[in-house]
Amino acid sequence: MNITLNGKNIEIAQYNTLNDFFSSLKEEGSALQVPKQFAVALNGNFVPREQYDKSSLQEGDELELLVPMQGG
Amino acid sequence: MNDEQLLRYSRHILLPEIDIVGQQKLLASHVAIVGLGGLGSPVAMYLAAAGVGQLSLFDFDVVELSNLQRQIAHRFSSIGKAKVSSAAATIRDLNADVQVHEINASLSAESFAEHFAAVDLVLDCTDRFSSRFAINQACVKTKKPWVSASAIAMDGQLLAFDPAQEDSPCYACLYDDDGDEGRRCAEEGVLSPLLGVIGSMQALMALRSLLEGPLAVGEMKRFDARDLNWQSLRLPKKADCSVCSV
Repeated sequence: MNITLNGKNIEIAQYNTLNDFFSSLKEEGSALQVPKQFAVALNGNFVPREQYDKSSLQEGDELELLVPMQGG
Repeated sequence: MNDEQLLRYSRHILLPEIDIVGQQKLLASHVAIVGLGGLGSPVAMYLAAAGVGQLSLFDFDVVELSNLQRQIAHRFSSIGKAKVSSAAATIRDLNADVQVHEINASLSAESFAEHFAAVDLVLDCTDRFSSRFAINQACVKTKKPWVSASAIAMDGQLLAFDPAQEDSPCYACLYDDDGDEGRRCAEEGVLSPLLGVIGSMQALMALRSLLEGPLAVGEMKRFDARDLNWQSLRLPKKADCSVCSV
């Protein structure tokens, strides 16, 4: 299926939940790199970590992975 | 206000959103600015120019040559001086109406809370997570509204919090305090005027809060300096947050 990840259209396999998708990114040989710590926004709404396994990922979803920013 | 003040703030007083009453409100306000670096510089200078009556400046660093590319409150002649002293000198030179308090120390959440008790608003312009989490705890404890901002490389973000509002999230609803270092300017660099964009937005949110009361909470504003786009992301309060839901 196609989703938008940090503003870029990408094609990924079908995943039931955000958790499944993030686990696949952590596997060796994954084309996409996932940062060590990040916050997640799905279609403009932040998703708490505890909800990753309850949040489904669907065709056309807009996903943002935000790395915490220290700079000031 | 005396005649000189009426003239100095005339362009504010002309605004129906401010008027004389609003300007008097600003002159009677007290804002804490934590971090006098890239963000704290424009924030402090705009609030001073706008006539915010009292500014408490918190920092424990000294001015270095590599700061001057973006930290516009400091001068070449200030290298080696405490950032709070350097910024205070700039503020006093801008506007003698402003009373400046210099706190040249690294503080714990408890010490921040003691200082914040006296202020109307807190602005987080720091460059490290330990400070952001300490400010978050202190603001939740004292129920003070605050605006957190950060900028790095080509990205900036702003978040307003108001622990006095029941549905307001806190910083710990967004990120876990796990000691992770995140992205830092010393490693990734930062585009100089990006600090002006984000810092000016933070100063603008501060004035709106002082003039009109409660900030709109639960929304992160992100700015991308590559395509010049702003984006809003909604941040709900976390039901079991260890800081704000206990």
